[in-house]
Amino acid sequence: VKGWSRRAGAAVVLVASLAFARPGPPEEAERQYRVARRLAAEKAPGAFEELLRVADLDPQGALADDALVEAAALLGSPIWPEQLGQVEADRIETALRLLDRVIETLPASDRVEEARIRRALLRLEPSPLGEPHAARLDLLAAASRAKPSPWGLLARYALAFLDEREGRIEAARGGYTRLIVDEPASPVALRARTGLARILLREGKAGAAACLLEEAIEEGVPADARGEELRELAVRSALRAAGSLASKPFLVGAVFPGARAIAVDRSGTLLVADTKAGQVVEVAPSGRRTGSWPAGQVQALTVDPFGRRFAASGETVYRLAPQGELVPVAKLGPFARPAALATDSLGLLYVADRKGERIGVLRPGANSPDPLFARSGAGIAALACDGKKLLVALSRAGVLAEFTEGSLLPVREREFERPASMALDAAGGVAVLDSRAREIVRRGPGGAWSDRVGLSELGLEEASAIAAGPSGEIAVLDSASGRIVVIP
Amino acid sequence: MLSLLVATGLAFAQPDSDRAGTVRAELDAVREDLEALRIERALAVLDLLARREDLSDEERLDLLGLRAQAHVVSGKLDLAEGDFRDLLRLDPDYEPDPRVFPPKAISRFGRAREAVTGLLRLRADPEDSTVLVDGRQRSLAASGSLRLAEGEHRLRVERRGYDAAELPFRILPGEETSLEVRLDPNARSVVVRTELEGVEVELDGTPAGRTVRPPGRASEPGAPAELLLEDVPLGEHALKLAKPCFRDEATRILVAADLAHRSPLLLDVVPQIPARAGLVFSGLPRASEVFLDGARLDVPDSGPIPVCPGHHEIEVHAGGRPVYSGRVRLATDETTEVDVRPAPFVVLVGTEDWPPILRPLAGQGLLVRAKVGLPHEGDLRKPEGWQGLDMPAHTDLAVAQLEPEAEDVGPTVWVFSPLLKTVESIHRAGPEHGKPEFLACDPGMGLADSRLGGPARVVVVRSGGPAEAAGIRPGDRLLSVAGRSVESSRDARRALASAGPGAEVELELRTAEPGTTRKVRLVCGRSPVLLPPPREPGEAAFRAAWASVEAASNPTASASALANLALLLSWAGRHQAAADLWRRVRFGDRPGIGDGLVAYFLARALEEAGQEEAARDLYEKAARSEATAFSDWGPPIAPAAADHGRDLGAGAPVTAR
Repeated sequence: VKGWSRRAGAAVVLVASLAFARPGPPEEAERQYRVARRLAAEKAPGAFEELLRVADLDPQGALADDALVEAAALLGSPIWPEQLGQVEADRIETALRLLDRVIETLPASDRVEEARIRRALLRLEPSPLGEPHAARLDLLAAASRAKPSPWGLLARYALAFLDEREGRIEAARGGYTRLIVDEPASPVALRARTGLARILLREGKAGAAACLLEEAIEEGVPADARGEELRELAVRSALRAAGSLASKPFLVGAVFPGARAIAVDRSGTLLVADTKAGQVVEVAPSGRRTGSWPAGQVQALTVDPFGRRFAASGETVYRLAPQGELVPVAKLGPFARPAALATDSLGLLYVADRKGERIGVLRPGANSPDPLFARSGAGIAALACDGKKLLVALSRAGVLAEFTEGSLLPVREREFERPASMALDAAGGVAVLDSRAREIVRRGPGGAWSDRVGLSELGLEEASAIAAGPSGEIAVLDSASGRIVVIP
Repeated sequence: MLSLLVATGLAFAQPDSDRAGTVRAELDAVREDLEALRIERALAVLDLLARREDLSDEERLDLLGLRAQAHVVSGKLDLAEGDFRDLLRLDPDYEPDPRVFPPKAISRFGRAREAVTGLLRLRADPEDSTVLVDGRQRSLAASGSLRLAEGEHRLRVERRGYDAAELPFRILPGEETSLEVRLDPNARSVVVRTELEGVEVELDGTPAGRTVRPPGRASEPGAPAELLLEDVPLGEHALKLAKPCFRDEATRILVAADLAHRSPLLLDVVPQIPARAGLVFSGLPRASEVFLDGARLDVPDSGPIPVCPGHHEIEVHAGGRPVYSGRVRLATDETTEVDVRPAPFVVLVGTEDWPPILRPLAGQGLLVRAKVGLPHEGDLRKPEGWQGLDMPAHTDLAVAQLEPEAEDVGPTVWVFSPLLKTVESIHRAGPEHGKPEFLACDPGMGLADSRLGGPARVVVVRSGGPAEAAGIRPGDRLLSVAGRSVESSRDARRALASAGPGAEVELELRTAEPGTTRKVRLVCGRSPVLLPPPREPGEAAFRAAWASVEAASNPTASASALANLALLLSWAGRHQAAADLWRRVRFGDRPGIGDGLVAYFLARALEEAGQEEAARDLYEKAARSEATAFSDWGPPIAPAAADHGRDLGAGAPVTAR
């Protein structure tokens, strides 16, 4: 016993001396954090895991919150509402877990406010994990502090952005204006200017919107706020209203013999579904092909307000991910080979069936669309979403209709012979392709259907689809010839 | 006797400091002995004392007088006579006191005086000359005589304005020696006479005083004023006469000795000829008051103001405060233009000159009001550290250059704003620290660039505004402003801004019809400007200083300047002060920035100051207005006011928020 006790004593001393010789958790976590930060800055693989190790080494340490929040950021957790829709769906859950850990286990840490805002924005992502109501409460809590921090201001901005997106225009106007006036030097004020400009533009005040955007651009509004595209749209609208937009339609350089559908994303990039080539082609505004996806027999294309691109091909809806990856989203079932596809600001995807008699809605995370509307012989030719509002072009009735509470209410301000395609621009301007009248008619942001262009003026025999670009330009597809003409 | 010797011996051994007191005490004791007729004892002491060589003349005179007295009392008149002789050699003017000495002793004294002294009879010219015999100043009797001990002496006669005379002479006992000394003049007094009194006189570049009317002739008409310049050395001298508001007179005078007439040289009366300088102000604010040397000056609408030449202090007051202060030298018969453009008053702390990094700003007209030393206590890096400094009223800005805290950091400049009660360190001075513009050119149109439509397109024209008046229409493209081509709407905005409010500028436009250009003249409106929050350290302090001056001195920009100052106060967290200032801002009923904006920002300040009820009412007022923020083209204020109002319970809540 005596010998054992001596050996045990020696072991205790050895362990203790080793423990003292090694750096303690805070020091080790700090060293680990420096390594992880460097890896993250270099976008090196393993940076995410290295950041998590910081929090594991010293879970209650001063750097645990930094590591967890930065790990969430690495996963693509958005920090501005304009960045919604960019994070991969499978990463949302992980990012939310990391942010929850900061909020719940490190409530007094200095990045907890950022974690709350990031969590709120993740909950606004168009995904099955979306919790818009909880997100809104989080944002309201952050925005209501007596002395708003930069994160509080960001929350205010996000709330105004949501109000605008969901059609609460007066609340959005108040929120944006308040940020612009009260916090003029803050980064949110620049973004708020673009938000207010969007509202003004939709109200037909294109000139005022253009002036507001000029200031924002001069002061350096970030690219993701799309200030320059919006200004272009505003100026064109103002000049068009003044009758002084001297512009000529131009032909996109490439020809797509099997083109069936087109869409334009928010940076002006054209997507063309070329069934003969069996792919969706990405074409830069300059006419140069910049990418493609191996999707054959695409019937419809759309780009949602988050910038995500969707293609309906046969029985499946795909998301066109970067680097040419096709990501199946859902099976269309009875809505296979759809006549039209549209997306709204909440991430819902609307689909019209092949016969144009039914509308279905595909919710984030759902495997197939839910039926929304059905009427035999309805003649649904096109769908478009203006915020949360769904517009439907009815080819047989020759009208546009608004889908409200389960029924289609015709918009009687203008009638058409056969509306075949429809496009909405960011200012709320609507363009309709009337295939029988062989013309494209535009309703300006002010509400007047004042602008029409005949297909013959465009040098087109016939046209099958139109799409609106970020500056208000309209791309017109002639399926017969495979040519695409852009009307500025 | 032994005790006396011992006492005296002890006295010798005593230190010097006590010596005089001891001698005096011994002499007093002798005096008591004499009074008590202890003559022998007195004589013994006196003889012992007389052998000492360290007695002063006064002590020795006293001793000899006492010994003569003792000798007389003891009947030793010969010895007494000897004492008298010793006395007279020391002091030829010695006279024995007849109350102490009997007539026979007085008679012996007379014999002694005849034997050892003689008389000097001196005639000095000038009579008031100073007489020194053997280096000691002596006073002559009324008869001009002076009793001196027999023997060789040296006489010196001197007087200011004359060369001194020095000569040896001999006094024979009982005889009278006559001397006559005439000094040669080397200077002469001069009387400067001027027609007016108070004329400053300068002799050879040195101020000599100013002329006054002689007291007895003050009321005599035409009596000249005089200044006596005593003993001006002979020769040529430069004389300058100066009196404010009169021409300077310069002349040369020749001062010569006149042995026949020793009276001062009387210069001719110099007349004073009035002198005038012209003063013209530039940059003088409207509705201001000018003070010249503290007296209010009437400033005519045009032409120079006649004022006295010379140095003057000028201060301009406007809006209840000084807005300019400076010193100017005005030359006779010349008109001087003084730029009295209002500028902030700055106090330099612990430095005699502007810190180098701020020198470019000093050139923009900042006025150094005072220089004060660094405080012994208090940290100037904190606002409270500046409270104890003795800064003049209306100080707009104070600047201190402090020693760096670390070796690798250069001297740091700290700027204190008495208006904002903030202090910041500043490492550079840029345009943002310069004078801000509180009014801008309002062209009445909005411009924007377009990829498709080209640069500088007119996208909106305000009804009734300057652009509409000039015939500009939406869709026009701006090609040049005042002859300078513009490549973007930003260029155009800057060119219009540099034209300034109220300016008339020529614009070249391309109209909607391709290829058609035309020129129009646009008269800029005046748009108040609310500047964005300062970004650079020190920017707020400089902006506040300029805003304070502009608010006081420029009625056109006053409201805008006050509004900017109020905003700065809010940003500095001084909400109540901001609210007080917003109450003074009056934009009036105008499109764009107007009273709705004032209501909004007053509400913001009151809300921050905890006065929510008053704030709510003002938000409601602002929510009903069409006012804009920042400029006449800025975003409307009403939605923000409504949003704030809702937060405070005004009106119906909007949807879920």
